[in-house]
Amino acid sequence: MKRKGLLVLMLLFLTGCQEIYSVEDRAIVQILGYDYVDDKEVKGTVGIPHYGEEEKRTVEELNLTVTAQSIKEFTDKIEKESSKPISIGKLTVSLYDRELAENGLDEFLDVLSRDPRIGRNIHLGIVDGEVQEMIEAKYNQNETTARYVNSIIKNNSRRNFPRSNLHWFLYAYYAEGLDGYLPLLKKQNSHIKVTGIALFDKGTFVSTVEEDKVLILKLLKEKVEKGTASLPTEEKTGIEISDSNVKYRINTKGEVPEFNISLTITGFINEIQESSLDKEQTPELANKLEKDFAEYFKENSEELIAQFQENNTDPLGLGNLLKNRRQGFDKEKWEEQYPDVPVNVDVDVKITGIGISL
Amino acid sequence: MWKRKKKRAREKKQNELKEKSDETLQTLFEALKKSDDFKSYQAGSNRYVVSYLGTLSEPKLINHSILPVLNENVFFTLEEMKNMLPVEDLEITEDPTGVREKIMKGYIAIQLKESDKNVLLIPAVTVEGRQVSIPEVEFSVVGPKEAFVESLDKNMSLMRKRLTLPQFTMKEVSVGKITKTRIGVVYIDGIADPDNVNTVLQRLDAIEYDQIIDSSFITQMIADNSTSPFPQLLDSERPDRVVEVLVEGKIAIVVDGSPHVLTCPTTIVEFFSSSDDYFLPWPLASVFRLVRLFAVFFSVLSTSLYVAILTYHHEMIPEELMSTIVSSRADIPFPPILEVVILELTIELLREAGARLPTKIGQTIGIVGGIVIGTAAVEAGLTSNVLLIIVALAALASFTTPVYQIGNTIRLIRFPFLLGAQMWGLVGVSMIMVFYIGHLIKLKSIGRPFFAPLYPLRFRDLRDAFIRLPFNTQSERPLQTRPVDPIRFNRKRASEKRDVDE
Repeated sequence: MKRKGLLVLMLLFLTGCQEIYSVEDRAIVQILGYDYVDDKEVKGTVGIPHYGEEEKRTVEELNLTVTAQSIKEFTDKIEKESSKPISIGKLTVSLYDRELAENGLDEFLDVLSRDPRIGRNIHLGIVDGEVQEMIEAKYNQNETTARYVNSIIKNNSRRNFPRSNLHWFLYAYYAEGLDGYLPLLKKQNSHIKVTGIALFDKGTFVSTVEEDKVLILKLLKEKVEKGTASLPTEEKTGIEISDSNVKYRINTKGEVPEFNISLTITGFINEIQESSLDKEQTPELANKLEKDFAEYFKENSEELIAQFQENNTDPLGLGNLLKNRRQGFDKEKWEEQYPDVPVNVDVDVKITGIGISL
Repeated sequence: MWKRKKKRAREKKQNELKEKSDETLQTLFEALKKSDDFKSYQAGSNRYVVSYLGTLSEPKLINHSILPVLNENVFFTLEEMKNMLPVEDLEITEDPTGVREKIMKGYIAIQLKESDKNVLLIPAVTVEGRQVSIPEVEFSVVGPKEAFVESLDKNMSLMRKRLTLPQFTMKEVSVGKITKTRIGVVYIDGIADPDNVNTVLQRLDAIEYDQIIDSSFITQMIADNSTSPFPQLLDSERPDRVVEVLVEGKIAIVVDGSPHVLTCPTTIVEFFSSSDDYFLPWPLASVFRLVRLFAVFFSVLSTSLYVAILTYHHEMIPEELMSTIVSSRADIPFPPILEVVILELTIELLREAGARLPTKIGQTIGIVGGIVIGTAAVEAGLTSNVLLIIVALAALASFTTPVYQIGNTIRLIRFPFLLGAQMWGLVGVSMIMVFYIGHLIKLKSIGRPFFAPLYPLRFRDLRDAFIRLPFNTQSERPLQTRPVDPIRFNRKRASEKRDVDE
């Protein structure tokens, strides 16, 4: 009993020895980016929001940049430059420059995946240009770079860009026969733009998907509920996709597995050029547009898949699918087969409306 | 030396006690005569001795019914007198203890001669008491507006008029060495479990105390765990509410001199159900009940979560709130825990001050405290805006409980949570939560589980716990009370539709 009492007392009073920092006494890192210096060194930049006094409600961002040989050393060095203890738990965006990504992000991913304080829903991004410059630039009053970049990525992934965050990327990274992709960002004057998708072979950046084909990747990966595409013809007919569905089928009868992708797209026309005004809005027109769009999506998909196979990256997860659906998956054999695996895309477009104008 | 003195004192006391036990009428009247409100005089043609306590007996009865009879007739025995007096419930006794008890209640004692051993006792009790008024603690907008008063008899009549049933039974016991307070154990014979009745009667018998001033004394004395912060008997000042639970098979304890009636066995959820819940349509009642439950959780946990999150888990603060919290905290010289303790104590001070002051001044105090101190504290940079809102809401939420007793419990139990939050963050909060839930699971109300519809899980009782289902589904009495007759009504007939005119 006496011992128990002593234990309780110790719990009560020894906790006083622990140093506790309340929120306002911490440097909360919200954005973290790395630049390639040379083979041995990286340059890291962090953005720490500094909240203004009560009524003004302004936010300024404090940026610290250090060059270090390892990530561990980097955190030590950053701490030396900060007046408050660094706290990484509120990290929302982590950026890497292109060169670094081409050399492999494995080390960084390991650190991110090991830290329990870091959420799995943070966004990663590849920067076309210098990361330090992007983080340090001032974009908008009252908004930190972290929040700005974060909302750009979030907003776009609701439309034409496929979704991607740390969790998804790590899943692809560790899965067999599946590769991840990240948004590619670029600083243009005083704002940031998402210019495409960076494709990875495991942790290494290998290729990019251009802006106009990003939607195709999204259509092949997930359900699209809001996306726009237009035919590259002179008439510039535009479609707004309201729903899509993608199904993968595997045929393993032959030596090499064959993949059949069937894509169903539902949408309505939101733009037809004036010159086609004389065309009446008939079911025939809708049928023709449906065919045109189906062809457009099919061609682009096949091109994109060919690009994946050429670069030996598998963002669609065909290997993963094969592993999950057929027994006896041989990873080495698959990797040999992959560049030449036949993939057929079958697209079905359904147009539900052509608008209310003439 | 002083030991012997003590011994002598003890002997003296014992002698006194002995004298009391062999009390005669003579000694009784002598003892009573020391008091100035005791009246004893000779009246009537034959100079009968009339004695009573002037402050307890009805003067009208003496003047109009008793003295005229005594003056006009000549009696040779008390028996004759008894037959002539136009008063009911007369009694002739020789027992001095009986006489003492009756006189102390306001009976009039008449002897033929002063040394006579036979005494005629005439009930002429008049007790000054409050009129039945509207409930103040458990106020409800709709529904009956009667509240119990300080008299056991009046309270019984308030209940009996709602429950005209011969099986409605009251067992009276008197508790308290000195006060001899009358306590009624009320139940419906044939519904209430006799085991429960026996438990209550046994526990009441076992009470060793000199005075019972209020029913809350009984709550504490017969509780299964008297060190628990949770009240294990529900107290109510509404006769309608008590009758309602009596019909469910519960037992009520009415204490003379207390306007609150206790009911048992009770469960934790019963403390959050108000009588309003039964006056409103069931969907509304259910939602309001859930709101009340949420309010309790909010009140208990909000400040400790504030402390835990700000000191340990700032990752949990949403990005949008970050600037609000950080900039309002920036100037505060205290860590979150001190900030919270200061504000909580302020609120507690206001509450205590408000509760001790008369209603009108109490309101002023509330305004002074709430507005002036709150704003001033924020302006002076002692507390943050965000916390002020949280603490004020938490205090408000704790007032939503319909039963006053549990409100006090909620006031107290949040402080351990604060301690846990400061020491171990959210882990600490959950540790304290586990401790409380463990305690609640162990707790009993006169031998029946206090945490009942949840543990042990009783689906049947859940129909009137967190939500209140419509009346036609409540065809069974709660399992909690182990009623002798568990069926309230025929469910089939209750759900029949009889709206076709033929």
